[in-house]
Amino acid sequence: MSEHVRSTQGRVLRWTLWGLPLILAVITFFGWQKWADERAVSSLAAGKQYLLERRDEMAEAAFDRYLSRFPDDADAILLWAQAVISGKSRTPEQAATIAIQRLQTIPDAVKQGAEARMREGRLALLVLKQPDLAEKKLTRSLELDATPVDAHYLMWKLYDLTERFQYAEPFFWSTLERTPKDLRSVRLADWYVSQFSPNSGNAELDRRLGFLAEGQYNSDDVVLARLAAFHENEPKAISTTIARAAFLIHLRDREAAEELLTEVSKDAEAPQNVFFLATWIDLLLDLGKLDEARSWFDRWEAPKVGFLYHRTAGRILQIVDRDDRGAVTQLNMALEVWPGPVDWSILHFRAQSEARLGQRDAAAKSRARAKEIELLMELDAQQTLRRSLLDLNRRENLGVMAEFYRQLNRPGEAAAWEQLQADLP
Amino acid sequence: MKSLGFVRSFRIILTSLICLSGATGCTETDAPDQATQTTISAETPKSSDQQPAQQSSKKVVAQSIDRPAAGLQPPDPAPQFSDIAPLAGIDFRYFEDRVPGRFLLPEVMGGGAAWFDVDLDGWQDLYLANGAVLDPKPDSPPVPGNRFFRNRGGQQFQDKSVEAGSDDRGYGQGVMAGDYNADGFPDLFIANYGNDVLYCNNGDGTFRNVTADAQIGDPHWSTSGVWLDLNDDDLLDIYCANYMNVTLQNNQVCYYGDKPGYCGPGKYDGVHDAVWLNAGDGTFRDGADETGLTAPGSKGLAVTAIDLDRDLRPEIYVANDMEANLLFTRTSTESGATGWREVGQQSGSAVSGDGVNEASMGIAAADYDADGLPDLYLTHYYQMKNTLYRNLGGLLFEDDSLRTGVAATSFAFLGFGTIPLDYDRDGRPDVFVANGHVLGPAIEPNSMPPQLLLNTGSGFRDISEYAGPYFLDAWLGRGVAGGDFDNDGDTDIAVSHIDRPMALLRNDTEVSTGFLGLQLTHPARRSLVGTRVRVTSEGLALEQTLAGGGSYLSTNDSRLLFAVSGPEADLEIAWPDGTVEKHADIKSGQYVNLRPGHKPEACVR
Repeated sequence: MSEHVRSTQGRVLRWTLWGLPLILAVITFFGWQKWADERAVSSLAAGKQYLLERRDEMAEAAFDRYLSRFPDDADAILLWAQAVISGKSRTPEQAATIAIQRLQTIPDAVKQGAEARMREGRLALLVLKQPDLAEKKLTRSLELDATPVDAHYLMWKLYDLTERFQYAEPFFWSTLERTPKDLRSVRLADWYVSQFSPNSGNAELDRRLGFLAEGQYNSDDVVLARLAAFHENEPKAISTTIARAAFLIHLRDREAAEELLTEVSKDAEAPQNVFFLATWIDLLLDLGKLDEARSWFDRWEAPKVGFLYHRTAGRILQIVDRDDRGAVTQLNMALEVWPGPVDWSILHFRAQSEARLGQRDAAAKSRARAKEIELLMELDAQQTLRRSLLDLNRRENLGVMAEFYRQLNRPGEAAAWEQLQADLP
Repeated sequence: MKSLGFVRSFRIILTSLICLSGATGCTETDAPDQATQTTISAETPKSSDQQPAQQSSKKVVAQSIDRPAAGLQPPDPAPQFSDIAPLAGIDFRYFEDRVPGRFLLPEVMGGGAAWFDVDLDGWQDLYLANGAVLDPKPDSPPVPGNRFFRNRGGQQFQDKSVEAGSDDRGYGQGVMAGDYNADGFPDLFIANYGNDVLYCNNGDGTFRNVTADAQIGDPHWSTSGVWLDLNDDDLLDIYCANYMNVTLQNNQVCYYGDKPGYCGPGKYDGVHDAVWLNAGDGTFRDGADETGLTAPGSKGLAVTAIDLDRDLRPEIYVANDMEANLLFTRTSTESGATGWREVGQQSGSAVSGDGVNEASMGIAAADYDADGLPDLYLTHYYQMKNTLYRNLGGLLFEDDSLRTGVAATSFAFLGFGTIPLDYDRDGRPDVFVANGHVLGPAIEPNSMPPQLLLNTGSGFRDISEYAGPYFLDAWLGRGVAGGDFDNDGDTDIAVSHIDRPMALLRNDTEVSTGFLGLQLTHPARRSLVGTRVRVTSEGLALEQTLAGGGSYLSTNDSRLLFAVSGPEADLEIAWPDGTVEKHADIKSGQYVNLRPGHKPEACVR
């Protein structure tokens, strides 16, 4: 054989010796990949099935297997988080913590980003009892995609649970818009109870959060325990501190509230926090510290809009500046924003400035309107409403609710209840 | 009662429901008779009319305003009040009949006191309501009735309770002194938890019980009241606040945490107030509907009658516990008939500035801001503010409690009796408040220190810590009556307590200004409530309006006391019939009797 032949044979042999394993390796690799993919896919399917069957630990393991193969699959992470939370092998707090850690790996930019942030928010609020974290997550979720209803509803409830009823209204409306027609009566009832009977409105969530035992009625003690827990869980979050202080003011423990709010006042974010500014200035006025109240009002860096701003501005102008015309203007603006239309104290404030301005008739009208609203809050009137909520399939009950809101000059709610009436078969 | 509100501030309405909520003998002066009589308009004065009072206020302020408003420096002059009750011969402790575990509300409401001159000797005597056994049994121990102490020359008091025949054994609450039979001697209406009592003054230091003859038979829980001519017949009638329908049968026990205590007004129905019209023949008739003085379901604890709109005709203000307060003013029909109408809500004095029904207990009415219009200071429940309703004129008020520091000085207290008094004679009325909780000894806080609030001209400052040992102790203060029992030209204070003996706080404050005391009497013994008096001395003009009732369950000394900076003062008196009299160069440092159409007469001291 010629050298050439030998050389060719040698190359073939070398290729065979080296190439074949390589080819085999490649084939094996791709085969393994395919197998792994198939196994992962099969795990995903199994996981989903386990979830349906409420075999949560097995579902978690299955999703784990899948995610070890496809760690960036956002849908799978969402499922995994669901399995983790549903599982019984960890405490709820442990489960929520690791679920949030993994949900955080889903970037904002992917289409599941909004859902992930919403779930993080829900877990933070309802399991970890960290409303400040929850608020950040839910806000981000809404920024990414405001279409789904969940984040809207959770924001409404978050504000209710943290004494910020004034902020809830837009989230009620956005929730209602996204609620199927057949459930809207429930949402409207929920809205009524949450605003006019906040303890009752929060009772179910307080039970879920572990602050209220089954069969027990909600009370101020429960609310205080909830707010204290929020504060202790997020001691550096000023929103939880303010919420606790606001409720202490409601309980008339101004001393404890002042201590908490004094700490918050040292926070650089304080002048941007509307809830703090309004609560703190109100307390300072109560305590006769008018100069300090004025000074904090001057430091108001938050947007100068909304119920709390206009209410606070009205009070500062009335009590400190004795600028009654300015006070009336601001209080009128507060009356335009929820809960202004039903907050009869604003009308009483306005009446005082009107009286000082010599506007006797205007003052009388303000006080008369305040009385009308107050009468709508009488226990008898409210019990009639609550009885109506017991059967939302009765046309007359829906009419009672619509009439209540008409008397409050709340055409939106009145129309929503009327629509329910119209939709009844 | 309100439903749970939609914002937390409104929950206060519900949670608040756990609370209670509560001389003649005159001689001619050497002053010349310079009285002149003119008819003045029964309207709010024009600004020029108010000017002197405003100027006077500024002048007085200048005397003492140069100190930090925050109150870091001691007040000047330092207040000094000494409890001299035992030394003066007054040994009285209100018997409340507290039965462990029963928690019957009257047990914690206390009793009132009244300063009045029973025998016209020029010295203010003291009458004190006492409690009684609420559920008497055959073997119940005897309990002394109401107590009556005769003032012996401004130094000592003599217990004349039994001899005077005025020791009613009902469960005493309020005491109102007024001359209903126009014989010149003040009579007594005793508001009881149970049947009220009317004592007629025999003129010799004794009384006789004329309740049955007078046909005054109100069995409701009565509290405070005022003698006033309610129907323009020149006879003294009675407006008496009734509280609630609480009986041994419907009594409830409330729990505060795991501790039982007294239930507040939210648990009981209110009772309409009583209006007794004097027929002039020794009898009275129910006149609520006839006069328009109707207060259905209110829960009244204090009443004052005072001219709030400068028409020389008094309004009636009723402080209710957790119900809207009432303001009655005169009204007249085309036929000329007069009556009353309730204007509390539209006046802005019915509820607090943020629209809350407050737990009103006591009233101290005075012109705190020297604008010629009496204002209303009201005591309220623990952790709720006391309220200053500033009179804007024209029967309009604003809740000025925050700006004036009234709120800040009151959150830590539960106030009952309260009186205006110018302790330092600077021309500005200061305020005394008796404090003490109502839930029972097992629940803190219970006893509380009283307060002396200095009127700084722009607000109030708590100067209690400087006022003497009584102010450093804690009490369950209830009824308070102010009166100058030693005729030295300052207001002394009688305070009835629960659990401890009453206090007689003699005002020993050393002041540099003088005084002029005025006793207003009508020759025909008509009511002079509403009379407006201006006293001018060395360019300083001060004005006061004669009021009836006030405080809590009590009657204040009816004489007006003015700070006077010079040796003499000029007087201008606007009587309720519209006539105005002027008297010049009245010597200061004395009490003077003023009667319409008569020369001022110095009173015996």
